Amino acid sequence: MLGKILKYEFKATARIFVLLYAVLMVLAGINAALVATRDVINSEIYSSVVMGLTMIAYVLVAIAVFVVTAVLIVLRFYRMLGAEGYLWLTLPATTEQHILGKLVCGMVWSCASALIVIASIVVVVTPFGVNDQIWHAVSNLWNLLILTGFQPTFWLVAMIIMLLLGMLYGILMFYAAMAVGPTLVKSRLGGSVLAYVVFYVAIQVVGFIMMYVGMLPSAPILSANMDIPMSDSGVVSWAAMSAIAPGINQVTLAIIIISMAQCVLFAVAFYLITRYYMKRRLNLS
Amino acid sequence: MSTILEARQLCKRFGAATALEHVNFSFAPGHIIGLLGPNGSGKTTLIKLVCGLLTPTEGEVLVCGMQPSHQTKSLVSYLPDKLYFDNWMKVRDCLALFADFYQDFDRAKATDMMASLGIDTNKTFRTLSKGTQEKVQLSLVMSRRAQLYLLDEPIGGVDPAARDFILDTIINNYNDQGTVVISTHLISDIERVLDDVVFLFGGRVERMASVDSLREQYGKSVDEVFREVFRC
Repeated sequence: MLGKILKYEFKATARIFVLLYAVLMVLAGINAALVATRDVINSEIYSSVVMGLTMIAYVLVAIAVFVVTAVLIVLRFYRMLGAEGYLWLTLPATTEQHILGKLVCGMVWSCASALIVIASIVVVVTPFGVNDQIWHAVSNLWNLLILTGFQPTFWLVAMIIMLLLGMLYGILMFYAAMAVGPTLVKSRLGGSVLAYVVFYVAIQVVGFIMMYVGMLPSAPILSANMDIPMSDSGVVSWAAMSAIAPGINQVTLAIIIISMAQCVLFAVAFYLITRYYMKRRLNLS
Repeated sequence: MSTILEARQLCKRFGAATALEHVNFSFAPGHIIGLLGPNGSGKTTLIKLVCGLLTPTEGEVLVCGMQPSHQTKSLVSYLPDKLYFDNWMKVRDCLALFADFYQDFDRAKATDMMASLGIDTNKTFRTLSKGTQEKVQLSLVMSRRAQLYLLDEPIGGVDPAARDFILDTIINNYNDQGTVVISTHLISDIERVLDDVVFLFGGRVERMASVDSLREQYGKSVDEVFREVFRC
C-alpha cells in the first residue's frame, strides 16, 4: 500500500518539479553559453545587460527551486487534511503509510532539489575555467587537515547525515503543526502556524539544554585548546595545529553526537505527535 | 454478518456546538437506508464518523463490528458531498487510482457507466462541469462491490432530470449483499428506492423505521411524514 501511495504522491509532484528542474538547467546552460562566447562577441551590452539578466533569472529560479520544494511539501500534507482527505484518508491505508508516503516523497524531492541546484552551479561556473583551481584549493586544505591530525572525511559524512536528519525532522515538524493546528483554534491555517511557532520555540529550548548539558564534559578540553599560538605575521604553525587537533576532534565528535541525538529525538517526537493527532483527533473540515 | 453498521451512544461535539447526541442504531446488510433530516441535522457528521474522517467525542460507531480503520475503509464506498480529485487529473487517472487501491473495484463497469453518462475519460477534471465531476465520483463509488455504500447528498447538486438517472445508477449497481446509506433532504426524489429511514433532527434520531411500516402507520408518503415531523 505504501508503494501505491508513493506512486501517486510522486506522480502528483513530479510534473511540477521536472518542469522547474528543466527550466533551471536550461537557464544554467544559457548562462554558461553566454560566458563561453563573451570574448567572441565582445560587446558591452552583451556582457553587461544580456549576461546580467540571464544570471538574475538563473539565481531567481534556483531560489524558486527551494521555495517551491518547501511550499509543496507543506501543501501536499495540508491538502490531505482538507478537501483531498475525502479521497486519501478514506483509502484502505494506515495513518503510518500516509505519513511515510508524504515524508519519503518530501525527502526525495528535497535531496533532488539540492543536487540539481549544485549541478546547475557547476554548469554555470565551468566556463570561467576556475574549477581546477577550486578543486586544487579544496584538496590542499583537505590534505593539510588530515596531515595535522584532523578528520575532515568524518566531518563531511557526519554533516551530510545531519543535514538529512535535519531535513527529516524539519518536514515532520511541518506535519505535526498541521495535524495539531485544527485542534487549537477555529482557523486551520491559524492553528497550524501557531503550533509551528510553539514547536519552534520548544525545539530551541530543548536543543539548547541538550547542547549545554551534553557539552559540559567537553568544556575543559575546549578551553585548553582555545589559545592557538600564532606567529607575529598571524600564521599558525604546523606543530600548534597538530597539538590542538586531538582536542578539537573530541569536541567536534561531542557536538556531532549531540546534534544527531537532537535531530533523532525531534523527528521521533514530531512523527508520534502527527500520528496521534491523525489517528485519535482527526476532524476533517 | 448480522450487523453491518452500528452506533452506540455516539456523540460528536465541535467546541460548544453539538452535532450528534447519543445516537444509537443498528443495520443489517442488504438494505437501502435513507438518512433524512433538515440542513444541519448531523447527517454529514454521522457519515464522516463512519468513514473515520471525524473522531467521536463519546460512544462508538462500528462497521462490520470494527471501529473505523484501514480495514473498514476497504469495506466502505463513500461518496462525499465534496469534489476531491486534483484539477490536473484526467478521468482515466481517477479510474486507475481506484483500480490500484480498491480490490473490489470493477474498472470495466465504471468505464461502461461513464460511457453511458457521456463522460470522456481523456478529459482533465478542470475541464469538466461540476455536475459531470460529481457523476465521475458517483460512477467510481458505485463500481465497487462494497459492503457499505455511504452516499452523502448524491442528488443535491444535479438537476431533477439527472436525479432519476443517478438513483437508477445507484439501485442497479450496488452490491445487493451490501447496505446503502443515502443522506439527503430531497426525500420525495429518493423515497421510491428506500427500505428504511432514519430521521435526524438536531443531532438526535427522531424516528427510525422501515418505509412500509411508516406508510402503514401514517397512511402517507415518507415525504409527507417528514414534513409533518419537522414542521417549522
